[in-house]
Amino acid sequence: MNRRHIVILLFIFAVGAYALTELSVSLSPYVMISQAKASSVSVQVKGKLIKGDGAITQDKQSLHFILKDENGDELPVSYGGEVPENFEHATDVVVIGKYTDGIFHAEKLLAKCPSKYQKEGQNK
Amino acid sequence: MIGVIGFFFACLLSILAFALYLPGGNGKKKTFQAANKIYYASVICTIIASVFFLQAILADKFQYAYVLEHSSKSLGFWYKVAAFWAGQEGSFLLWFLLHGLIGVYFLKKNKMEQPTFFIYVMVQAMLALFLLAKNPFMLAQMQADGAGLNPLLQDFWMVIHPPVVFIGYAAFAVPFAYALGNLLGRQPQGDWIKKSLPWALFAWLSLGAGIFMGGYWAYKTLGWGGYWGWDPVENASLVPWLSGGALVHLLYLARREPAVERLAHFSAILTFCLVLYGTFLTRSGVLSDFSVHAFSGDDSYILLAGGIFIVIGIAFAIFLYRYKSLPGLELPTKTESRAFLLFIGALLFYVIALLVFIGMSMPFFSTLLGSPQNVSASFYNRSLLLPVAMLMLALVFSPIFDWLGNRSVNSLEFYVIASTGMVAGCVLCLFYGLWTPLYLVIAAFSCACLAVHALFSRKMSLPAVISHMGIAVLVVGIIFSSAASTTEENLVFSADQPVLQVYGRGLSYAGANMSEDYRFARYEFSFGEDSLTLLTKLTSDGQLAAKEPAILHEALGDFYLAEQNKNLSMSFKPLIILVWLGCILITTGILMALAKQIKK
Repeated sequence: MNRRHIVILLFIFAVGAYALTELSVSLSPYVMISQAKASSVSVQVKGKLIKGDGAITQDKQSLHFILKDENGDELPVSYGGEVPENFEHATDVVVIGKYTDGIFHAEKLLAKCPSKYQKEGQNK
Repeated sequence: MIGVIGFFFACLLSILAFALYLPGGNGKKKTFQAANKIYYASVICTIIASVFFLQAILADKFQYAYVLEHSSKSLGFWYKVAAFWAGQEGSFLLWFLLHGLIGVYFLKKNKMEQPTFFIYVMVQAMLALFLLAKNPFMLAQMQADGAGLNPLLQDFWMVIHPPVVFIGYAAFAVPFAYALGNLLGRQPQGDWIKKSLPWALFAWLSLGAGIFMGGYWAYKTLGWGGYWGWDPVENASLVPWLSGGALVHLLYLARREPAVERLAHFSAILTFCLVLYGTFLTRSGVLSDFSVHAFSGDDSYILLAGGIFIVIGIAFAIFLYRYKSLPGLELPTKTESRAFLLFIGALLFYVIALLVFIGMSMPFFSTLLGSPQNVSASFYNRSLLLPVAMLMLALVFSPIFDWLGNRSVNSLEFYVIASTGMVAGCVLCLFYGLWTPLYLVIAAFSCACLAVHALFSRKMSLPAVISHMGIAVLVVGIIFSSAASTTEENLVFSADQPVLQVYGRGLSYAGANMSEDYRFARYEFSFGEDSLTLLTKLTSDGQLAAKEPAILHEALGDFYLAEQNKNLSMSFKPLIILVWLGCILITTGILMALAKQIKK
């Protein structure tokens, strides 16, 4: 263990500690709907988009829809950002945000299609 | 048919050539000669396959699944050409082709000896495996017309952006092969550095130019107001670029400081491994829950992941096994020297790369650990500020020492100029109302860096001065265009209010018109004395395909009119022109450095 090794270790330790502190504030865990309702921090939820008359509504400020996860729980979501072009065709939707006052306020929305470049439902 | 046969021969012959090179340096000369011939044959087959593939797209042969999915009859010539690399299979074929062509250059000019060339062919064999799993010549049920190219991608920059990125990817295999080949040799030599440097520069140049084009395309086409979204696909190209930057600096340094040879080997190997890792993340489908960009996954990901991790594993096994054969000297620790600054600069590149790497890998690692998580864009926007500030500080000092460790400029003069630059940076922040301390620090250091490089430009090589200034200009542009940007949302015109006051100018709607072929709708606006046009692209069956923003460029910043979420909004992006100017300067600087290396 000479001086060089100590310097290298200290450097790695400092960078690692910095990265971990930064990470811990910005992680949003991937959870089920029941957990999302109980969580006080920002989380990610994946669910099926419920379609049908009046299931998806849009007012001037934001888009409202309902997600259903594998356990059958339902989650009302409100989203104020830009809606992806493929949203209407999406089956699975990932939302990132926080659950407050009975509504999940999404900051980010990912509509999951097979691929941006490929059409839905084709076999490979 | 010839294309398909050529394709399979290309893949199989590449793997065969690799197998024949495998016995290594003690192998018989005849085997090598045969292997060389097979290698040439494999590249010729690749060229044949590529030509036929391109011809299949141009001639609308929709019996091929790829052509059906990525092209259509009505597509213009250049967009048909772009369909070649619009999908997974085609882009792998392009990479394979570029890799093979570079390989032929080395073999023909006899510039790559064994076992270096063996490593190079190993990468090619791996690409051949990918292609066998993702065959671009897959047949589909014949249909009258194809799905066409996503109209968002129908843009000049999107036509040339992917091949430029892939040239960078392919070229990073060269320093990788030289470093590993050198380690496999009996006694590692220093001459691999001189041979690798132009290729590292070329790869860095190409990948950087590709990234810049992608950013510019996003800004002028996507309409969300930015040029960089920290999407996994973007990050997967940024991390190798950062590592490549460290590599270039370490190679320059290693020519004078044998102590960094170990690090230079490590960097050359790591850079290409990061290219492969990024390919794995974005192509295997592990991110498909997290990114709209990433290609979708299917069973072929096992082969992809297997191939990539075997190559990465072999590379690091060789490095660790032969590590001790490299001189383990004291690293440059004399703080007042150019060597130390270069060394610190390279390390800072790696700190930034590591942070981006952690962010982009988070979904993958956390899935492995059983609780999938992702980081938000704010992770990058916040955590990178400190290392970027440090990098800018290191850049401020870069002209003051020469290679021999002497101070090449007068201290007083240097500090006066640097302080003036810092004050100028603070004034700029004041003007745009930017008060966050770290932004202020970064802007101040960047302006100091510009001032110092401009006034002491003779103390360093010109390419370095230009690219360093490019980095400073780029950083200033990024900080101001994002942190000082403002937006006026929900602009609605009505009968009582036909003219809205936005940013002190009158904005009014001046009507819409449709192009003759019904593929473009133009919405005209007048803004002050200028006119703005929002362009909406439609697909052939009249569906909405893409909405492009209208941008008015002015000296102080851009006015960015876009329709988002059925709402019209206008943003002011201060100094965004500096982002593009910085990119151009960096590219020019690296190009000049490359020209200098080639001349030698």
